[in-house]
Amino acid sequence: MTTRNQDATPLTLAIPKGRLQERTEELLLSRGYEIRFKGRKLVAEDPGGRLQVMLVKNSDLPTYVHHGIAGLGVCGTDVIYENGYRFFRLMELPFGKTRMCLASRTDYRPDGDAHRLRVASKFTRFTHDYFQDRGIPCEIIRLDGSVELAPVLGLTPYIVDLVETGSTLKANDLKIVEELATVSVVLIANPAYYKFHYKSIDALVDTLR
Amino acid sequence: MSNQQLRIPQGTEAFYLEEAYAHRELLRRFENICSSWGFLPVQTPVFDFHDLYRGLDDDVAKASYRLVDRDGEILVLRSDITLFLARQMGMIVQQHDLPVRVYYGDTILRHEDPNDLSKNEFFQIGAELIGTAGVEADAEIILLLLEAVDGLGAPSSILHVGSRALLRASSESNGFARAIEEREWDAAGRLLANDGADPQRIDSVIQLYRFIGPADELRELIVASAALRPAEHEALLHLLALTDELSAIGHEDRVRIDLSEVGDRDYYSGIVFHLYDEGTDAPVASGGRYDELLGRFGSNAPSIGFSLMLRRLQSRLPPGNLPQMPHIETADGGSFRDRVRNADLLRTQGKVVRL
Repeated sequence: MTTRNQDATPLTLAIPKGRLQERTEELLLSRGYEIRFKGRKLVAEDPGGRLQVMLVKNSDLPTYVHHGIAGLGVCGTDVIYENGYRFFRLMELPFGKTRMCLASRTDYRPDGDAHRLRVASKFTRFTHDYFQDRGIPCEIIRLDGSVELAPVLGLTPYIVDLVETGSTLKANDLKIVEELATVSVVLIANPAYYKFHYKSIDALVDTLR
Repeated sequence: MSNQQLRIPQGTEAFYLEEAYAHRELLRRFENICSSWGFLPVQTPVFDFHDLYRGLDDDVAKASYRLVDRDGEILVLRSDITLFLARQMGMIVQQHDLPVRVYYGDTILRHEDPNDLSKNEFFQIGAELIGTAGVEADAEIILLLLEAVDGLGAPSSILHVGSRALLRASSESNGFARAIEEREWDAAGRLLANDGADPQRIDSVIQLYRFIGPADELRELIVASAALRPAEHEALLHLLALTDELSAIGHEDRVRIDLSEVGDRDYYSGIVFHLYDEGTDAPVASGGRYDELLGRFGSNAPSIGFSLMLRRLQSRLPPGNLPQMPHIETADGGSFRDRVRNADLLRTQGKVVRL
């Protein structure tokens, strides 16, 4: 049996702007894929013509992969969860691991009469599912940035947010109440794209391991 | 009211002129191919009793619209023609009528996520072979599907075929099918361990389901796989016999064995397949064998079929593969009667003429 339409065109990969971009480019470079975005261009191709890389906003990345604009993507499991799309998770990447935590002010003492948890988060789907699965009533207030301000300013006693070193929490006089999940950075694939290009993609994954 | 005039309800669509022409032409091509294979048309009702379909397909159920009739019965609007067809066939088909070959093409109504309107699941076409089991029946449906998608303008698509029978033989655990389908090998391994499988069997089974490739490589893998169950062997041999048949007919470069294809519906019982194409974000077509489904609605019969969302396929076809409107001439003539006469004459020459 021969394989059709494999290797004819470069694989398409979306990578997120921000903290993961540099680490992803370093990983690719160490495996022989040199990606250089010229000027303000958001699409680049490695000189070998094997990989076309597009730079997108972190929270939009799953949408691009879901619609097949990019067949592959580098994305945190937190962002994938919030989008709710189904992808193949091909491998965990060796960077960006962090924790999803419930945090509060260090001096906060829970009110025994409180009937429900009040939580601020940008990870509303995760927060909802986490507490619902455990039968804990929870009121969620969505915030899009500087979530740690919510307990400081009195919006909610708790937040659910990513914690890497804990220094931001400490600086705002907050503490981890509970670690809810481990978040890692994974290489994802649109399932239909993977099925059509599985040989080239498996070869890429082997190279990245 | 004025706001409603500018909108249409979610889950419906209307299309016009060139787009409607291309749609009709694609549908006509599909119908002609099915007819030439001896398949007959079938029409399913627009709605049916909701409870008949309870538990058959959670995804379809979630996306279905329900209504209450004047007697208080809960009805469900047609959101998946395969299920409605199985109900009709289970109700009316007699054993002496079998086998029956049918095709369909009709609108379906599904809720669409307002944040993800990409699915275009408004018009479903498909074909079913009812009353025949075995490799030849499986091959017949796959060959018809391949000819149909070639005719519809997607000749580079590739079929990935797997087996629900294999999956059933491996594990009945909740979540195992999804773990395999999504290639979540760690999760699949944990479920096998919960079933009591030892590490060697877990390794063998996971290696098996990771497989995508040609029949020769699968044969080697089977020989190397320790601790496979007899029912797993049987399902694999059936797949090999099917792909051998398809290869012998000349489709060896069009079909891949993919054991992570296990079917996204619980009612599948044998081979299952998806068709993939370059540049599409979802399978072009899907299908499989469902030998126990019709019995749920009355008389049972082994069955296999495929379906595809025609509007989705149309939206993803390269412009050059879409049917083009014919050139329309305008009839000459000083009077209306002259123009009618001239138009009639030109139409007998195969031209498209307006008055």
